[in-house]
Amino acid sequence: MRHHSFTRGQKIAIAAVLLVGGFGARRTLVGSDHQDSPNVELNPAMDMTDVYAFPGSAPGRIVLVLNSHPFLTPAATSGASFDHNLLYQFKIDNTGDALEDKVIQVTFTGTGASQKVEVRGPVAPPVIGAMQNTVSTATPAVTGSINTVLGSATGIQVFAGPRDDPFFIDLEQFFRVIPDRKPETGELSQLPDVATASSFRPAAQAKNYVAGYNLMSIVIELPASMLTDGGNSKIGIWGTISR
Amino acid sequence: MSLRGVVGFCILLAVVVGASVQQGRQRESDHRQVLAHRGEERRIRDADIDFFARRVKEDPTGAIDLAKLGGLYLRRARETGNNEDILRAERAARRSIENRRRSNSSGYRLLANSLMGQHRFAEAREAAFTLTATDDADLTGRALLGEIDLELGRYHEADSLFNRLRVVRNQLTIAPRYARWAELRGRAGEARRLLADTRRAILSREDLPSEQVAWFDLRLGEFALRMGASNEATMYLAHGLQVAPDDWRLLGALARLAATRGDARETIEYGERAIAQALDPATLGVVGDAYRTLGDTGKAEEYVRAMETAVATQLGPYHRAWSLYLLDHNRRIPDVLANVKAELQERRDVYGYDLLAWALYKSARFPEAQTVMHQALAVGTEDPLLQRHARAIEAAAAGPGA
Repeated sequence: MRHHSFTRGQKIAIAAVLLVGGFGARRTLVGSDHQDSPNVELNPAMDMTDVYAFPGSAPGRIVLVLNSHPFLTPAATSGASFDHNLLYQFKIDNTGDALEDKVIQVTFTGTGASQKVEVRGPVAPPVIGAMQNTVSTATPAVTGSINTVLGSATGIQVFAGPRDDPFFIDLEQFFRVIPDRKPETGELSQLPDVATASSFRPAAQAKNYVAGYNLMSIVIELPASMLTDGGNSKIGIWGTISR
Repeated sequence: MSLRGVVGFCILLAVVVGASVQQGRQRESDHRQVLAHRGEERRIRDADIDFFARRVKEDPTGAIDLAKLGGLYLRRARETGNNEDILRAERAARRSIENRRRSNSSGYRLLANSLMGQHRFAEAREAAFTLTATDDADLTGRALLGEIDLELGRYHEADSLFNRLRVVRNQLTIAPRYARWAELRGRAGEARRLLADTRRAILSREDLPSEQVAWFDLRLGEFALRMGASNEATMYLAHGLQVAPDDWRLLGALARLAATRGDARETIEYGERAIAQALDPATLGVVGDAYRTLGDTGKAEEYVRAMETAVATQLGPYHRAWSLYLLDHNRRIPDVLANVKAELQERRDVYGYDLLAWALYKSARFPEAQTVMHQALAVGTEDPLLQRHARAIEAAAAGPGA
């Protein structure tokens, strides 16, 4: 697994990048980030962990998933909700220039289990760029309560709510394998970079650190044609959470 | 009054009474909701403690879950005043660090915080220093080291650390420590502004435990109390109590506030509510004094004995509030003097010097008290308590004819 970290300023977290070719033909997962900067560690609701895209429940449909708020314990899950001050966005590049041509914007109102979700798009982005958080004036395509499957099975279908974190890693062993961080100057910089392990533990001994934790998931299934506009079937997808 | 006037008056009266009853019901309902929310937070906290304890059992070689478990113990210690939880946090931190010495900022942070909770500042400094030396990007770690330096009276080191944290001083984990530094170094206005700004930011968030939200009201309330701004103190502490009606630290601060106003009954009311949650020695002393004011010396002495018992169960070398209480009541002055001198070997902060000066003053050693008080004032702290002590010492040193 390659671990990438993108942090732009203090207001935005950009999750993993996915390249989806031909919807099922080729998929490349580039990375995952949990708690990748002090700001998101202090504001877990804006901590994006992963963006996934994969073929949907019927030919020609695609599923997009944006996960945030990692390490929710079982006890904390029942009261968890999305941050209504944040804009959650899927961004889609269908021209190969690494700039979003379409966005799906997800916003929330209220708090707790009665929170409502609004999904706008796919639409042309009101503003292009990672730091922008302008909400489109388009009428929401789907609205309704979180923890409910909303929309239609042939159009845009949405679920927003807590889910088991699908990521897996033997994190404790990972820290033993990678050379530890140390200062670049001073006495401690002389410490050797000796790892205390050279590989992950065997399956029977390995511990999936993420097991048992939940997170907040936004899952959207829709016709892939709504993202490609009938053009290039090779698209880039990424997500942002911004305030 | 005409019939129309009587009817009008009755309608008006009914409206006023109705509105008042409605407001009362609303307040009661809000209060019940807040208490229910606090109960739910405690339930989640305790369930999380069980969750992480299970995970630690499943993988005892790990470091992360031990640090998270210890963090929850510390939070419970703050909320309940239970010292056992501070010791549990320290044990969890040490096990976490034993399992992973490097790349374990949370383990070192937890260790430093749990040692600070026991007033073992020199050891806490070692932990925080290791944290900053092994992870120089950890800004919270640097602020923590600075906070410990303030407690130890290492003001030049603290100045150096906090000066470099200026651009990030608004961050939640840095702001209270930066504000404390500013306050101790004589910039009370800056400290107050920073705390108030941070409190505003905190109030706009819904994901923080009520204990953390109320803590900012407590800090600002206590700050105002120290500065003699009792209206401001009332405002913050009352707001804090709306968020956390059973917070023993807020109730204790409200008892002290009532005491400064000379309201013995209110002091007792708030103080006893605080003591019902946690046996805080300072609050016991304030309530004891309130009983004395009301002429109930038997009850007052009962509280002094309770205070002494509570102090004996406190972690750390000795209790400063207890020492100040003893000096202010002219009790065991030689013992306090010896304790203060011993503590100053390690902890040379402004309040340590102030206490020594006050103990010397109470021992009628005025010139020595004067010299030590100058050392305390040299730090620059603007605290009316220091000023009051300094004035008394100056007057005594000048002699009766001055």
